[in-house]
Amino acid sequence: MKGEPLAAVVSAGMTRFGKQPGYSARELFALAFKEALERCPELDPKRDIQAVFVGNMAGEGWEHQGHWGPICADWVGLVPKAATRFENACASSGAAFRWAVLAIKSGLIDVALVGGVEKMTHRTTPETTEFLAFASDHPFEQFHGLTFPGLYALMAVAHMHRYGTTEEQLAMVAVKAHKYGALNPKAHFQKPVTLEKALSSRVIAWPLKLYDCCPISDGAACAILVKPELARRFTDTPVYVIGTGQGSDYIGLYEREDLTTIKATVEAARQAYRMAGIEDPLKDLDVVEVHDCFTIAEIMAYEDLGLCRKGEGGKMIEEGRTDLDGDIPVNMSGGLKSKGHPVGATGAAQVYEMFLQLRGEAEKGRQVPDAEVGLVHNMGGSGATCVVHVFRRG
Amino acid sequence: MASGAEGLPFTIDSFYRLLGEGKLMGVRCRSCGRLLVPPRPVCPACYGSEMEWVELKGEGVVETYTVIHVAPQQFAEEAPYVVAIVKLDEGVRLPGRLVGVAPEDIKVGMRVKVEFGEPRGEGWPDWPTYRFRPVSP
Repeated sequence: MKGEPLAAVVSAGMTRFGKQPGYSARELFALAFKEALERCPELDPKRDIQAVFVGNMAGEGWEHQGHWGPICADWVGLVPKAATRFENACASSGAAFRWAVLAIKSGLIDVALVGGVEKMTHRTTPETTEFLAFASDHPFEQFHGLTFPGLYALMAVAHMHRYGTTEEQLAMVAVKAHKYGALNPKAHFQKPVTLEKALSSRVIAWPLKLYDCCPISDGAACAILVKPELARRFTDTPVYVIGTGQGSDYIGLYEREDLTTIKATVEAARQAYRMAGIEDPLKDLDVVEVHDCFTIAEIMAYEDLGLCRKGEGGKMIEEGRTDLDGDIPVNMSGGLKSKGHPVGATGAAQVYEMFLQLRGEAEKGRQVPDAEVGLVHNMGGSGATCVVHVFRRG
Repeated sequence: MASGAEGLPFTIDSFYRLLGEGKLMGVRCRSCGRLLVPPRPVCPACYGSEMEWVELKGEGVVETYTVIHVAPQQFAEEAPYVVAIVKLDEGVRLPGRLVGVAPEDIKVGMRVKVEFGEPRGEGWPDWPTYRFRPVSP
């Protein structure tokens, strides 16, 4: 494998995802940071960390609070270090991570704290639905009553119509997610579901049912990112970033020629694969975390990341090819569906999972044996942003 | 050029203002000929900014659709309702509510026609609405 290290992850931390009554986002961020500190005794945060990169999507809605960079810096004791918040909808901390990688690669920053946080569960579901909808097109999507499940349902119907993808195949994504989420102590939901239960759950936006949709969660996650030459100063088992990519697509689904593919993913993967020297993703990758905000999103991600041919995503889940013992294990964390989706924290939580997987530290039953190279795929909104990173164990 | 549109800026607000007059309007870029719906002041294809208004027939086919059961607060009383993306005969797409057909009878490729409605309520954005209805065979 080619692929020069761009940066190294030397530690990571994450709160449990789910309902965290009484905790606000800044406190969750501090708790995630505390775990990263405990994992990395060589790190002296006040001496070493030079900048803070934070993903947060819509704290203005949920907590009536913006300006998250310095708030998070304060709650982790890093004032007066540089601190900036990134907003790319549900890809906010994926984007924060990418820009931290670029800052380190530029040579201006040696050690960065990068993370994400969202506090959502203290508000009503209609309120949360409204705050999430900020990331869709207002004049032509929100205006007509489209919701996020609705937008992904539009993609699902297009995919079902063109490729014969079935509601059962969608539900199989949820069953797989819960199977591995049940083994993840940080997951929002830690119990398996049956195909029958997933298929008979109530309709949210046909053809998507409750079990096709990720939950509303609170949570935070973070990583300590350093320049590759410094990695061994902090840990014997760093995880290197060897590819980064980011792309965009039209925010309005009505602008897209083809609703069965997401351009942002294709573009982000193309950039990251080239940098990392990935020629055949199915062979070259050992473990993958995709942004399964809705079950159809995971099926489309298989195709757009090149893990299977266009239109074969449904068959891929049905044949168990993305299970732990399949060709390419996907979402061994439980994914957004079972692990939970505190939107601004999700990209950082995917990095956390990859850090565990590539160090062999995930729980038995969901750890991919001897995983060497992994990929994370973080999408914003209905796919108008996508950030992809490729990692290699040190 | 359609009457009523002259002098209006090439914006989404103008689109809805004209919709209130019963006209579904886009603009055509004079530099590259691209049809833009909604109107834009700068063409994303060639960066031209000289536009002419074009009235659309308002007919097309359902490209995809969904039935919203869990709606945002302001639309909760209307649920379940259908939202479709319609590919207009002029080649551009528009999302909108689809009415006059039971969800189980909707087919991708079904022909529909636009119809115009009143603003939904007070305050921004109090734009007039539009919706699609199947064309009777």
